[in-house]
Amino acid sequence: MKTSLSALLAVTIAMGAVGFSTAFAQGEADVPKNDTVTHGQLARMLVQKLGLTRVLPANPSDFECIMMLAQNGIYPSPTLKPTEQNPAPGWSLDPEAKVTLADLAVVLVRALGLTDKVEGDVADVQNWVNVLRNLQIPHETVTGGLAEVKPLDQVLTALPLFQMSPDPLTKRYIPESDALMLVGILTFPNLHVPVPAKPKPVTPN
Amino acid sequence: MTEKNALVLRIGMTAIMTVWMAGSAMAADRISVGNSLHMEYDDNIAQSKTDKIDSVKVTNQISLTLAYPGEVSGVNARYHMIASWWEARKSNEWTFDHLVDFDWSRKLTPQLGLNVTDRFVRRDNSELIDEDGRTVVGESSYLYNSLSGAVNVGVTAQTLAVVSGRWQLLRYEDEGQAEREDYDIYAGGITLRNQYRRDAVLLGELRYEKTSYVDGGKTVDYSPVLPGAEGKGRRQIPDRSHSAIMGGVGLEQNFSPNLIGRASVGYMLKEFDAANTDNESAPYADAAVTIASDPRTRLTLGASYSLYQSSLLSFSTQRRTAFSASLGRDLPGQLSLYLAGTYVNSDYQAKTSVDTVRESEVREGSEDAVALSARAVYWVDRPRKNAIEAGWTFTDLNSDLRSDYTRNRYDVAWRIQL
Repeated sequence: MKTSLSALLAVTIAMGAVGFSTAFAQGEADVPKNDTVTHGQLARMLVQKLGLTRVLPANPSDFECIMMLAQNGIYPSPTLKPTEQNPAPGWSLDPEAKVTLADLAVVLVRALGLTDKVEGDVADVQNWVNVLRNLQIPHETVTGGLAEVKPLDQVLTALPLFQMSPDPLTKRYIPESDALMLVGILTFPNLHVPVPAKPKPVTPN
Repeated sequence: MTEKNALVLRIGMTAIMTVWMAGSAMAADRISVGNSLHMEYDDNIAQSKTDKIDSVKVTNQISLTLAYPGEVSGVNARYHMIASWWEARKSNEWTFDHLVDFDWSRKLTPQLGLNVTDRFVRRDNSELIDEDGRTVVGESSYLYNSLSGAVNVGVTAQTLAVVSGRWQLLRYEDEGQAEREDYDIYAGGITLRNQYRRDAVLLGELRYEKTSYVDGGKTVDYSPVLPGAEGKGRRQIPDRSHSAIMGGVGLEQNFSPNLIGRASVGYMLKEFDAANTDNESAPYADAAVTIASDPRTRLTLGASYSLYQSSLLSFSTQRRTAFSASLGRDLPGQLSLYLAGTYVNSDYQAKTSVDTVRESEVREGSEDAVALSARAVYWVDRPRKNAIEAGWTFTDLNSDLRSDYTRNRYDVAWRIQL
């Protein structure tokens, strides 16, 4: 017990040291310019910036990131109906699908919780860009825009899915039910069968 | 201070210092501090069928979050502390829960990526003694940790192999609880992902899992309570340890701008260390879709079926069927509404009972658990996540093998992110 937990502590510290040092060493230059970012890459960066990785499996796929963002109401389209200007709205799984400035503006407005500030026709991307422009939020590069995005304090809809999975690489099992509600406490119920904590067994010899 | 508590303290301090040092080194926009204050009324805190005891608790949650995204490398760290004050409680009026999340990813080459995550929970579930001196709920504080690592290797331009490993551990503080429930779970697997169409990815998955109950098989001076076989077992902690192998195929698809989903199906085999049968096999299935009927509404539906870890000491496994739905809707103005529901059916068969009791002495049965939640959020300042909230959570257990109960929790909360 002591050995395993000490090993755990050592791993945690090592991960922290390696992770932070390499992240700082990389700096902002890591982020590709806007014209080279695919939908999948933007989704990965967004879940990191929004702090959603904690409810995703290790090394989540583009799809898992996109689904998590969709569950939290974050799409790269003003509306989800195809229009002449935007015949394929929504997230794309196509590894060749590049993020446009219009996609980026809409995603940023949604991720920043500014949707209510869009004035005029919501189908017009320019009205979404205006929100960012009025608030002087950079929106012409992925790097500049993402710098403004704050982590979500809570994830409202994402917790149940990965807890339900039979996959041993993603499921989480704690007999006492409330444990898994700590993160989304009082928000969504836990999937595991609630087990009352019982007093110590008292059985005569 | 016990060794365990000292360790918790060290891990907690490490997490806080890591986040603090990172915050000092980086721009403030990468750190966020959140706080939420909850007041909750619970109508059945002991989860009892007949002797319901209601309670009020006040909870304050502070979270420090660091997010440093990048295409080549990225780091996320989060420390979450929950302080709770319990009304009408003679013992431990205050409890403190701690959570630490850490996530690090790095792309080593365009075809090779590495990711490590760790989730740590220290739950303070102290024994609950009411003002009359009665033990209402037993001590069930614990440590939980899940450490995962994964490596992505590009096999071809369209195919990616993901090799993953995971170690979970659970340790209770109470000796009796620890004897029954402490475990280590080691899992490893490989997933092949093939982009077979622009909007779809085919999956092939193979998994191995070894679950070891730490005190399984230990001789004790009492007969553990075995639901479904009360008074029949030996004076020995049943050993629910097992290994499992599972393999299957899946699909992730963007069906339309409004509908994305995933599904996987396969077959799994469990081999038990100490059950009344050597092994058990079953198909498994897992599916989820997210539907956006409009940009203000999202609905997620999920379902799964598999052999799953047993919640009852008497059985080495369960067959679990689960359904879930969650709906988020932003209403005009500053209001959002969230609804969620889950249904879980657990089926327990006598042949998979533990070998400290005869199969013929075990009663088969099933359990139905329902959980519903509704939450209204009034956004005072949405970009700052400043909100007033009200919620209701309902849970109901209907079991052939243990006591049923229903429980309602109502809360109001104020949340803000700095």
